[in-house]
Amino acid sequence: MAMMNAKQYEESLRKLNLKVYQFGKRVENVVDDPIIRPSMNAVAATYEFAHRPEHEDLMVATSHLTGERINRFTHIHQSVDDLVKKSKMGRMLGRNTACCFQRCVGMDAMNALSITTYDIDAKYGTEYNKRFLKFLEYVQKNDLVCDGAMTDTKGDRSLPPHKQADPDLFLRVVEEKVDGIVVRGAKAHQTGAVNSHEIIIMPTITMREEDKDYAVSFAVPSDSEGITYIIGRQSCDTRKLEGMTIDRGNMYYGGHEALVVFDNVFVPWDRVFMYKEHEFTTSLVENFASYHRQSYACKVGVGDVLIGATQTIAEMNGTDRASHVRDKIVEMNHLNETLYCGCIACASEGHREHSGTYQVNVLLANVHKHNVTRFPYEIARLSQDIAGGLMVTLPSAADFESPEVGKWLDKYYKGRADVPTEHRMRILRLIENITLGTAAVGYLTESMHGAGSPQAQRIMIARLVNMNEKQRLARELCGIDKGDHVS
Amino acid sequence: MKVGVKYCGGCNPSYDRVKTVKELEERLGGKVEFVSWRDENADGVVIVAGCPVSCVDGEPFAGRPSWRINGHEDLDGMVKSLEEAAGEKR
Ligand SMILES: Cc1cc2nc3c(=O)[nH]c(=O)nc-3n(C[C@H](O)[C@H](O)[C@H](O)COP(=O)(O)OP(=O)(O)OC[C@H]3O[C@@H](n4cnc5c(N)ncnc54)[C@H](O)[C@@H]3O)c2cc1C
Repeated sequence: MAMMNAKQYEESLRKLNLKVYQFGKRVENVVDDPIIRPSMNAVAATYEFAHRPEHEDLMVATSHLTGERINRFTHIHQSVDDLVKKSKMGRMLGRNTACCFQRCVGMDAMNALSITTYDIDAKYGTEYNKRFLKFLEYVQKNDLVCDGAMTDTKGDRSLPPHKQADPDLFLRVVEEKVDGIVVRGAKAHQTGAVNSHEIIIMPTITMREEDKDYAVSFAVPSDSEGITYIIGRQSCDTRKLEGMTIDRGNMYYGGHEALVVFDNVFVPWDRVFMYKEHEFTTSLVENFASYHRQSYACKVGVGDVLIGATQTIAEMNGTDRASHVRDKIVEMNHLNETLYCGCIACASEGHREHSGTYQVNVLLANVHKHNVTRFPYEIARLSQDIAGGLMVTLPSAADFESPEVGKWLDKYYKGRADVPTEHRMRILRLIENITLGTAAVGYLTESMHGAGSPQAQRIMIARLVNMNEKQRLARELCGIDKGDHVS
Repeated sequence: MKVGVKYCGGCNPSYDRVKTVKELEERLGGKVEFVSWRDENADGVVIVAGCPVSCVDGEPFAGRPSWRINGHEDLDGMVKSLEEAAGEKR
């Protein structure tokens, strides 16, 4: 099957029989649900753009398995160029949707598994890599979306999985059968879960011998028996129930996350990619985290939109020529492009793993993601500074349409005389959407915690810097130690 | 003359690439027909990049005439080059 377009993707989702809950009720028609739909649109863009000549150079890759043209989201990176294109694709999609387009987690999970399954097999003579590649070929051929599910609910953070009061707080194997395994647990914060055809499970943390029942990785169809999705609320989510009003901010796109419960789900052996080899959990977690920290290239694209919106509101307010406003916009760009430097750098400094898969420079990926935990907040702060308070005190679209008060809003909320008040309202709503509405989930809090909270990156940075070399240089140059220097 | 169009992926273009190609087509007034870069009957390829990095790999077009646009400012030069090429073809 060739790469799907947006319509075909939508149709493929309609065939799934997902058990989804939202506001305490079962969602019977997930695809057309007004709150979920914008998130489906954002994933659909990843399909549609692969067919657009002006984006295919980033969106399409060549499968190393079949030689066929495939959507890059199903690709295993075969070169540094692939890694760079992944970063660029993230920015491009971020700027075109201004939200989380949800498809990178699965791509990152597959790339990590391509490395770790190979390494487990090399040690134990198992056949995880063969199984994984069969699964990968199926994903590529059918152009599927995979939810990358790592984060367990974790209970008491100070305790390892086997010491939790409830053993299900980390997903685990509860039964081994002749034809497969049965698993129980839940994965939290799952991006794009109900827009996915498959779920790929990975352990959240390094597992020790006592936790080996938790050292499990596998893939199952998203509508497998025993899986339930509970959609997370987003700030301002119910505005999407109000129709296509300007109060949505972003008229087309959004994201979603869900708690995914696995209540005794059966997984056939040919879909199991790690089974109790606990000493490889660190490898899987770190490979996934490194790829996923690179993936925050998307926030640069969302930043592009926010900066564009901020410049626009400054012009509409008549403040764009003020020196402090200009300077703040320079600062926003400086921060945004600094983020871009990180995701391009970690890709450009990528390397080949034993499996043949290319991995990013892990230190630089961590530095990049660590910047992402900070800079979007500052960019958002500057945007709100320039936008003015109206972005949070603006009456609703219905008030603008009201025959009684609409005229007052139109009159008193006018900025520059040649700009329709409605345009000013639209851009303010977009800024609101990205900095504290539904899209702030992706632009801010996901930037903070997605792919690991800030401390996770600091631990990696501390571990990966070549401190001895730095000290050697310092000691030589000040004369403590002798070195081979020009004098 | 038939010319294939190959765009970069558009990660952060400094201008509207698609609009610029439309403008190019209009300014050439029917002397050049733009087709996909995959069209093997094309007489050459215009590579439309969003910025001076111009990251599009030229290898697949080696041996065929190709021209690059890296910014809107390249438009005038491109009109001239393609007019000349179309004239020579005739
Ligand atoms: C919008 C969004 C989308 C996401 N999408 C996905 C997804 O698609 N797939 C997926 O698998 N995950 C996803 N995540 C999950 C993300 O990886 C986690 O949020 C992240 O790992 C932090 O885990 P947590 O949210 O449980 O917070 P916690 O782990 O509770 O962290 C909160 C704070 O406690 C600290 N802390 C936690 N444990 C300890 C400890 N043992 N010792 C000291 N300090 C500790 C942390 O450093 C942090 O400061 C997403 C998260 C968000 C917010």
